[in-house]
Amino acid sequence: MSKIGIPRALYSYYHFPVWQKFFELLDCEIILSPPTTKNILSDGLKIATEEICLPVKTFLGHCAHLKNKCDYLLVPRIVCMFDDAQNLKYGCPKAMGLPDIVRACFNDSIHIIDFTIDERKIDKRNSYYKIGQIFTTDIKKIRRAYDNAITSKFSTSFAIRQWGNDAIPQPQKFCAVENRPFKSAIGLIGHPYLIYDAYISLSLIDLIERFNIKVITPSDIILQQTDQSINTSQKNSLLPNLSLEDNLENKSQLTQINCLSQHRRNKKNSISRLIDDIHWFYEQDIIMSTEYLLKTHQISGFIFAFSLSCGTSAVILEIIKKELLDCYRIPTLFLPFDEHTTSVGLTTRLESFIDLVQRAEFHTYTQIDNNFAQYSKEKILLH
Amino acid sequence: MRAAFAYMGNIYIPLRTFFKELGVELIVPPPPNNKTLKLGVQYAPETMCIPFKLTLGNIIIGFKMGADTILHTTGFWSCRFGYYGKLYAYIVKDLGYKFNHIDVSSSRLKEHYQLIKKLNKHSDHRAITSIIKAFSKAWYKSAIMEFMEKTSRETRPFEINKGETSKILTKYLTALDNTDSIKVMNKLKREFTNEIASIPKDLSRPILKIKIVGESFCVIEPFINFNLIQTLGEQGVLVDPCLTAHKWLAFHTIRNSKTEWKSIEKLADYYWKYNVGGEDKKSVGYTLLGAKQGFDGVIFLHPFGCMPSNAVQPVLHKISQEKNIPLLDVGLDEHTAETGFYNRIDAFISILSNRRKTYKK
Repeated sequence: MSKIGIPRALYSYYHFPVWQKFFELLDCEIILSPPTTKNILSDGLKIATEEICLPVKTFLGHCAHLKNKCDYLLVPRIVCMFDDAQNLKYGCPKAMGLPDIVRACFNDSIHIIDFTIDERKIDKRNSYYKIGQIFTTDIKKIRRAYDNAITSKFSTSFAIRQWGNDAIPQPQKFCAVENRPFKSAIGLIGHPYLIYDAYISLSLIDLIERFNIKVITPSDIILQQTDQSINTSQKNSLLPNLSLEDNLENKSQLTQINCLSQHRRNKKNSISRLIDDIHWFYEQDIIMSTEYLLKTHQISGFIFAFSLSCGTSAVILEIIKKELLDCYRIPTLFLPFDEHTTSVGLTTRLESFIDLVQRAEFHTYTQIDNNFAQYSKEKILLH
Repeated sequence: MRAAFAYMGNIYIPLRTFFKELGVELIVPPPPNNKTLKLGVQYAPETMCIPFKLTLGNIIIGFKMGADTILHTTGFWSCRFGYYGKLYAYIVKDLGYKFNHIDVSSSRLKEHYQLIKKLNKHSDHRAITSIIKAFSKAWYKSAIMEFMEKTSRETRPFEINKGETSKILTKYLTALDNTDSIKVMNKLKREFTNEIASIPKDLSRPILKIKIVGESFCVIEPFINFNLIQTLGEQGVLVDPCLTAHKWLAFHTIRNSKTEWKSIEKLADYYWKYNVGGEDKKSVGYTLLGAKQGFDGVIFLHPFGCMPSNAVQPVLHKISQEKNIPLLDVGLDEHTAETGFYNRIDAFISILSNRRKTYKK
């Protein structure tokens, strides 16, 4: 039985359940690296070149941890994938070169499974088959494993959060510290491999929850949306007069609001226009969830967490700023992360931001809607 | 139609002729300077790479000079280059300019043809002749430009009076820029060859050979790399950049020298499998080629925070160790100072010359 090491970093935050089930059905033992610790990160910093982004450094640290503990190391290379609307979307350059980077950093001492997904040439199914053939010659078995595994995913965003940090005990309905219901909600937008990794994001979600504020993340929306089947009658629940408390108390209502895929079909919505312009696979979630949260009035502020040298964020955040935030006028905080970020500085910025959010909550959503209508009129005139 | 475009090195010399033939006036801003950089840094997203900031500055200056169109090539891929045109449009629109935005891409050839037809009095005949003229003239011009640059790169290390070659080169490049007729271009080429041949040279001088690899903008644009190619040449180093304005243009328009680049990418296959943009695979390939051809060292220029270059860095360092070829890896951004940059370059060159002496013994 061969042991496969999977680093708890980068794309594992999206695809781990699939990989786990697939390899378990092929009778492999999976060795998952522990949540990021100080040692893992410092190992990664030693190995990596200095300019590369923080999640990749963490990834290399996890690889170093797994180096002597497994026979194979699973390193994904995401080149091209089809999205829901059958458009080809690309991975980020680091995702495309990840196996090469790992190979260069460790001087061939690791046996790497170069797990390439390139749907221009081979579809996803066949790339899984190709990987499966390393472990078994039984094609039927691989096919069965793939069919069973491909639909599995993290059940909730809390499951991902727990996966990134073992220390969290249970999902909470109340604020972790003071045992009071949440006052308001904030959208925390960022890549799951940054915001759910408690060590490198300095447990950002915990920090915000301590202020009695609920955190809504992209995976929250996406996982809920896929669970809920589309129901046309529920479309009417998109009502601006729903108070925030109601939304949060009644979690069902939060999920009932019209589905992203429905958004996507409606060509008049700017969401579809924006998504078609974005050619990075993993950035779609960010834009989609930002737009969704803005349009459904669930939140009173935005925090964008990104790693400092993350190239895609520079473009995506600029597009979000120009297309969405400029017209909605909602309190926003941009938080860059790197290995030198400290929790003291982070807390100070969060405190002042949350003061701002609580003041701005007087500003009702109807006003925001008026603003948007006016703004879009101006924009049309400009064209 | 007056068009602003992304300015890079000498790329405007053939492009001006090209667009003039098509009926578009290309607004060529003054060469990048600190004012341009300041403008670009002010309006660009903070963590964007330096090519974007500098070209944005030039586009804004172009609009101040009266442009009404943005011309930019796109190609959506993993690199941020594909989004440049979109971001230019957002930023320039916010500044209050009204403009047309033309994304030049191979998937929109029909649209582009209609536009050219419109510019040429709606006549197919005129449009097609203008296209043929534009391509042939621009091609000829850029080939002569490449010849001049290459010759001067090769003579610079041997010249006795420092700076003579560069003086002749700038003189002839301005003359080339001002002409549109092929006859004059040929004459310029002849005169240039004669003048370069008449420069006093010391051919017995021992010289170092350095390959420059890296991201296209950083290699081609002399403002951002502090005129590295000329300065190194005057220090007695034979420089071979992996890219020039001509090569970049020729590859991205008519896929010239496709086979050569393919063979180089094949060389790099073992170390770097996918071409992700930012000339990363070519950098790897040319580094390997440099090691094969016996170059003394490689300088890797890249914008700070450039995604493909960052990703390819560890691989280049590994090649440098395995193939025993010294590598200097410099990240450039708006904060890079000339003194600091040349300190590193000088140290690298003295290391190389010492290394050569010990190797010879």
